[in-house]
Amino acid sequence: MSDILDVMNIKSFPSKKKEGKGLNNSNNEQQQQQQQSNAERRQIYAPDEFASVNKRRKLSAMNRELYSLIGSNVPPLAIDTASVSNAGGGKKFKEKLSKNKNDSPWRKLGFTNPARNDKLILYHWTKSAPLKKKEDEIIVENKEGETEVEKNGDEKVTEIDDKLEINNKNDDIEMDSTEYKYSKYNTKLNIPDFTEDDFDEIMKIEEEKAKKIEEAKKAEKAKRAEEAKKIEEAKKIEEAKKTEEAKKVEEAKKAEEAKKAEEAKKAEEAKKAEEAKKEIDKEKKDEPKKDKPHTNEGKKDEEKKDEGKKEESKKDTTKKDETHKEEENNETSPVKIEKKNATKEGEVDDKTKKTTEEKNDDKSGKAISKPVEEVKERPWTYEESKYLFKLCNQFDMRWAVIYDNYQDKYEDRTLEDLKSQMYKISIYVLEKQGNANDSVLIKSLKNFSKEKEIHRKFYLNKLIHRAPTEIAEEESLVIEARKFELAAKKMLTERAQLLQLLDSPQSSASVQQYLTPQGLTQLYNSLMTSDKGKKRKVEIPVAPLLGPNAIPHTQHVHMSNQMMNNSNNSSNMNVNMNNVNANNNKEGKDIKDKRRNGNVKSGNSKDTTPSSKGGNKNNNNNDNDKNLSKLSEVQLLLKKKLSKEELEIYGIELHEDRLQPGVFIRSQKIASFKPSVQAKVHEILGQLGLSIKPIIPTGPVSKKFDELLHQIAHLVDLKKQSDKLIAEIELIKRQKGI
Amino acid sequence: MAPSNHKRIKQVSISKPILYGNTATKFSNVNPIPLNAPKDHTHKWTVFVRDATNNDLSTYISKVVFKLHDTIPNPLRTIESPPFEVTESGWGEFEIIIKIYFHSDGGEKNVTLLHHLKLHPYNDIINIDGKVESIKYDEIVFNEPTEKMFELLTLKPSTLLDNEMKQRERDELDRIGKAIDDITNKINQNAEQFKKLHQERELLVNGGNV
Repeated sequence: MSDILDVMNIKSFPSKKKEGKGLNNSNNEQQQQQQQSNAERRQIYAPDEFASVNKRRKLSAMNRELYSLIGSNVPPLAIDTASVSNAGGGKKFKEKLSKNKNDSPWRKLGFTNPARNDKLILYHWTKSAPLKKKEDEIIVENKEGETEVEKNGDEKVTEIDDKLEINNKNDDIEMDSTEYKYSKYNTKLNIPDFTEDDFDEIMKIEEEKAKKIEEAKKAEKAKRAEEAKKIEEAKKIEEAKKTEEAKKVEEAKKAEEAKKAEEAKKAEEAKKAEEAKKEIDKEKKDEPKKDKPHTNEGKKDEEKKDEGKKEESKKDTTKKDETHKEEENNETSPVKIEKKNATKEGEVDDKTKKTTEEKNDDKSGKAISKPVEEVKERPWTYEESKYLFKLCNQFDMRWAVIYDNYQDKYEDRTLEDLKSQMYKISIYVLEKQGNANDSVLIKSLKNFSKEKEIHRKFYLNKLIHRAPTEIAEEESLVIEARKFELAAKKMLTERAQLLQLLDSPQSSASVQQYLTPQGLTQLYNSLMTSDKGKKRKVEIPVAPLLGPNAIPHTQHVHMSNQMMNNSNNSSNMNVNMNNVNANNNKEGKDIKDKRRNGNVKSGNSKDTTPSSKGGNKNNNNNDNDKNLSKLSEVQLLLKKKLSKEELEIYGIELHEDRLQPGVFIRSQKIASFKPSVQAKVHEILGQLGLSIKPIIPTGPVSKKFDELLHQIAHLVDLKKQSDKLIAEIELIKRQKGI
Repeated sequence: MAPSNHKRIKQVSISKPILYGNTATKFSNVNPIPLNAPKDHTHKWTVFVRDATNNDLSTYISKVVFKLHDTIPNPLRTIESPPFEVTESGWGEFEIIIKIYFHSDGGEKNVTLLHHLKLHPYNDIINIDGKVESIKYDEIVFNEPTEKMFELLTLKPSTLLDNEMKQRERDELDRIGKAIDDITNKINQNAEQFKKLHQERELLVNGGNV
């Protein structure tokens, strides 16, 4: 109430009203009320400061809005002292506004991060619980307040330089008593460590692997060569000769290369060893250790030689592979191969410049710009690996940073090289440790494939560096593709529909069986069921159901009796009616008896009908005995006792199928279609000069009209399908460019 | 054995022909406006439901409720005995909702008809007596009627439709029959065309594959 008044700025005083009303009450009550309101007033307005400080500000709805925004951290509440004084104490403020008036100031507290070793003290501002005069309480309150605040996450961290901190001294600064909130992020990656022996072993394993791969490759190469030979022999003998010559040259070259590679490698390794020494010097590692790596390097050098040879030969094989591929692919361009061979031979001649050759190879590899170009990797040394691991530790396996830092020292490694080396060693170490928990990790590490990674990055790079026009083109292509897909789907469904239509009995050869009325209804029913299967809302067909003898016999008895009575009442009386009636009454409830009698009855009536009806049109009775057997006994009775005209007079109709029970208006039962079809049906009806509904909707008219409607619907459907087919044919024609 | 009212007679339907609609006469010197009617009323009209063969509807119909336009005082008129009709005066045409209720022991639900009150003649053709008529023929069909309803429906003999109606029915049947013939012809034509098109398409598709 008071809130609303505040908002409206209406000065009304409920307490006064109360007093007015309370005139009849006892004085005590009035006094009590006044006391109460006085007490409230005192409680609320007691802090004089509020009233005085905020004299200028007028109360408005804004205050409430502010409250809902800020919550309990209310700025000093503005109170219109004038209105308060004028009100004579009638004006009230909500009590909750005054409840949390206590200050909860921001306080600067020191904190340490347990992850740091240097015991650096940083400061942050935290919100603490309201201050109270008693010091004892402060501590307690503070703790509570701090925890609360930290939940809220309102924290401002100010970093102060170490120097400042030293100057400040810790004396006058309170420390944050709660645990450092972000200490949970102080995690350290557990990167496996390894010794030099381990490293050697790893390198050996790698070598073995490389050997195996090489052997496999050689075998493959041999196979390919054979295949190539066969193909070439079969096709062009000349070319085959050429290639064979080339091969011979290559083999010779290979042999030469292998020899020279050894020599060159030795020289190279010597160089490398020197480089390594320099690096070690740079790193300024412990002097005594320096000797050991030397000896090791000596060993390594040998290994490296082997490796170098192998890799050299590998290169050759790959080259050969390439040439072979090209031979296979472009057999028409032997010139190229020759050229290549020539260049290679040239290279072979220039064996003295091994290093430059390597570079050339690299360049050519880049020039070809194939994603996987087996560029020879410089063998890893222990120091290099150690350095890599150190960086990994330092930068928490953030590869981009590691790579960046690694570049400072060794420029020739790629990020993938680093990764694969790191993982290789890790796998080895972890396997050696044999920790069961690491199996998953090892598996995932083993999944790393340098080639794949290079592939991936190559393609990614390609993807990123597409030109805008390319991107646009791609998008448009995608859209186009989708369109085609949709069109194809549509065509498929259409085709299915068409075929179904063709399968329908309409177009089948013999129409003879549908010429009779029964055949027609049968056809209609079959069409209806098939339509129902297609889930088309043509019309809800009357459920074709059950045998006709569904009527309980008791009912039958009653019915027949009733029918007799009705017939008796009516002017049209059957001669035999009484007899039959008598029979009926005599017959007990025994079912079998009655059935027998039913037959007898029908026999009787058959005899009698012609005589009684004379030249009646009642041919149906005699014509379709089979049909009669389908009818229920009630129907039989009705049919026997009443002539067709009589039935018509009563409006009685006999059905072979079960009906949906209930009353309806004939004209309202006319079939309807889905809106699109309905409109077309109406259009055609209009063209035929018929109204939407039959004018005289008698039974036969309605039936015929229904038939007409379905024919029209069929026609509409057929037309639609034809149109679709025409469109499809045009489409196919256009696709074929006819 | 006591007959159960709600047992239905299977596979039998009974239809009852009815006429419903309205007649309207314009106020004139011959047909002066009643004193109690508002001055702006122009027509006197009667809306009705009756048997097409002039028989008694009340044998199976218990009441007919006419829902008139809301502006007419007491717009819901319930007529519980024949003749089932409402006579009013007015100036505008509107939709009248006619609800036909059957005797409750028959166990059948009510049916609803919709009639557009016609005051002004089509094409300005007025009957000699100045009456405007809008009467529709329809049939109430009882599918698988309850035994009681069957009894009620066949209580009194009904008569066949008169010759005029019969003639109109025949005409209608003829018209529809003719229309069906037309449509079947068209269907056959279309079916042939469709088959041709289908073959053409098949050829195109298969030709492409070879």
